[in-house]
Amino acid sequence: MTIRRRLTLSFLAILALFSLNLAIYFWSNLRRQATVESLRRAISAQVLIASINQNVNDLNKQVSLLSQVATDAAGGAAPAGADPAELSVFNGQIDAVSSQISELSELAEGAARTKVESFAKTYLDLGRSWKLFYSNFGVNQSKAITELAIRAEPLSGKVLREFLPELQRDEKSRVDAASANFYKVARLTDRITILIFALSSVFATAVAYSVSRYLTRGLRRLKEGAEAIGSGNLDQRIALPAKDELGDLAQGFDAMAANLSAARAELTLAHEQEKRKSEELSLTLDQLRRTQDQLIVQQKLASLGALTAGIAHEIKNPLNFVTNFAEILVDMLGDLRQDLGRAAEGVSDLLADLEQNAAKIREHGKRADSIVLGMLMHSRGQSGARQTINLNLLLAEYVKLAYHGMRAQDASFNVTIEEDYDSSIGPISAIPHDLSRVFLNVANNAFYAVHQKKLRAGDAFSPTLSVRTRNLGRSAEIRIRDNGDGIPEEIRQKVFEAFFTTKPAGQGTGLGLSMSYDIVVQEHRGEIRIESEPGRFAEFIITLPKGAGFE
Amino acid sequence: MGRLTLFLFFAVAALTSAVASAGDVAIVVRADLPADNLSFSEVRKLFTGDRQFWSSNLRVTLLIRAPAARERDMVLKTIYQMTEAQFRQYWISKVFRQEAASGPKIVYSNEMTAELVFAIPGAVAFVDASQVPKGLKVLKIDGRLPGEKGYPLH
Repeated sequence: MTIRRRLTLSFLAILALFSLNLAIYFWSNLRRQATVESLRRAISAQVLIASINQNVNDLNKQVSLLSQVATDAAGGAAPAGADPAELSVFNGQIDAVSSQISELSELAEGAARTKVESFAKTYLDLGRSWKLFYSNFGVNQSKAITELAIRAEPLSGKVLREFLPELQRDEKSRVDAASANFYKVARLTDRITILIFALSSVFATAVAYSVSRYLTRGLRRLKEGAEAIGSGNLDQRIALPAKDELGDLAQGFDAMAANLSAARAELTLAHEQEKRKSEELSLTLDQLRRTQDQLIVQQKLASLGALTAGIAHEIKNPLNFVTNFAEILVDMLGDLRQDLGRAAEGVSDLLADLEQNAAKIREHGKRADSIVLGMLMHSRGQSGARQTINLNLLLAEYVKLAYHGMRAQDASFNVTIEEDYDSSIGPISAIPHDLSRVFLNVANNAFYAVHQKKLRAGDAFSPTLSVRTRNLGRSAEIRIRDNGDGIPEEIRQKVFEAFFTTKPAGQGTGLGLSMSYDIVVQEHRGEIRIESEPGRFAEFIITLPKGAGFE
Repeated sequence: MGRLTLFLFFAVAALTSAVASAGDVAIVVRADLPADNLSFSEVRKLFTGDRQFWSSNLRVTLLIRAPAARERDMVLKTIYQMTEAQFRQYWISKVFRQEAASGPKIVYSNEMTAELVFAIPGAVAFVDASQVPKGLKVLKIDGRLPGEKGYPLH
């Protein structure tokens, strides 16, 4: 059933109840009017009987006292007869009572009417007797008195003491009955009206409750469904089996939810695909960037290596001559010192100076040779053989070696070394000779940094080197951290370039970290990076694959 | 003829009564009335209207002479013990209070009294004891007839 038809039927039902209430009201009104009319007739009859009683009494008193009064008026003599006018008035009074009795007869009903008719007949005889009395009074006084005593008085006694009291009782009973009936009807109609009104109210309330409950339930389900769909639950369906407007609306909602769900699934799929593609592109881009960086570095190193090889080759030969001839010169000066003996002290001093100069030439020649050797090794790009090593032991050994090297150069140098080695790393595959150079270079730079800061800051600064390893599963991580001045961002970009150094001239070649980078990244397929906060610390982080990735 | 007979009847009766009880007032009723002797108080009740029936079906009809008659004066004095004015007032009040269906009927002569007593069953009247019409019954009062010693209406 549609909502429109449901509401129309409800309205018609309530209209029918309203009509029923109206009909009950009019019916009650008619019943009350009927009882009021009955009561009015009874009261009118009662009033009329009282009036008749009064009039008959008056007439009776009049005829009873007439002879005495008239005699007194006549001074004890026989009164004269009544004049016609007085007789006419007297007869009129009797006839007026007759009219009242006729009126009473019309008001009477049923058995009461029979009584009234009997009363009317008796009164008619009484009236005739009174008229006869009055017409003979003063004319034939004996006849008048005889008529009065023999007929009128018994009749008046019957009328006044039998008929009228009985009629009064009857009418009083009739009034009481009509009054009781009036109240009875009033109570009955009131009860029926209240009952019908109560039933109508209950029915109307039930209809209104039923319709409103049906509508609110349907609307609530629609609201819940709409809220669920609005909150993103597109699988929500509105279970409303009604075949009406609400049912149509629910079906529309369900269809909308289904369409939205399908559209969202398509969008989600497309989004996932796009996201996957984006991630893939991002990975590819990162890989490309790394590859590009490596290519650039390799290209630089390759060109640098070639250049270095050329330079080294060109310089090595003269250096060999300088070194060789300096050694020969030292030997020759030694021989000459032996030959000269103790001949001349002055020559001896000169020879000592020559020997010292030749030694310096040799020393610096060897140093230059060492540099050239390093350049050649750098240009060749690899050295040594792979072995299974204990990373923690190798690291600890070369950190200590670097520390003692620093102590050898400056006995006042001191540093706190904090070590934290992860024993779970286990053996890894590496080239220990090259890897030791990496650890040595990084540790040397760290010691140098804290030493320089100590020289500036004095006792207020406590140099510290922190060395830690960590097992990352398929790789191992080494962290070497010093609390020196740190490395500014602009310098951090260049520290792995060859010949770049921040040390004063003569104290650094600028090749240590460049070689370290090659050893870690190219030889071991690892990573080396720097974290630093200028003024506080610098930390080198080296990640080495345990075995996989080696060629 | 009827009137002559009636006249003769009353004349004879008057003469007889005058001889028998001069000055007394007799209470007369019809001969068929079921009463012969009344006490004085019963007489008072009758004439004051307190007793209105001789029997259940026989109504008492009082007949009393018009003012100035000797019988009336006697009755007012001995039975009613009232003046004329009091007597009138008494009956008017009684009728208006409906204590009596009717008042006494006024008669103007002994003839009229006799005629009405004969005609009305239950009628009771006063007449001069010396003029009691024939055919009417004279009631005893306290066992005494008019003319006897101790008769109250003397």
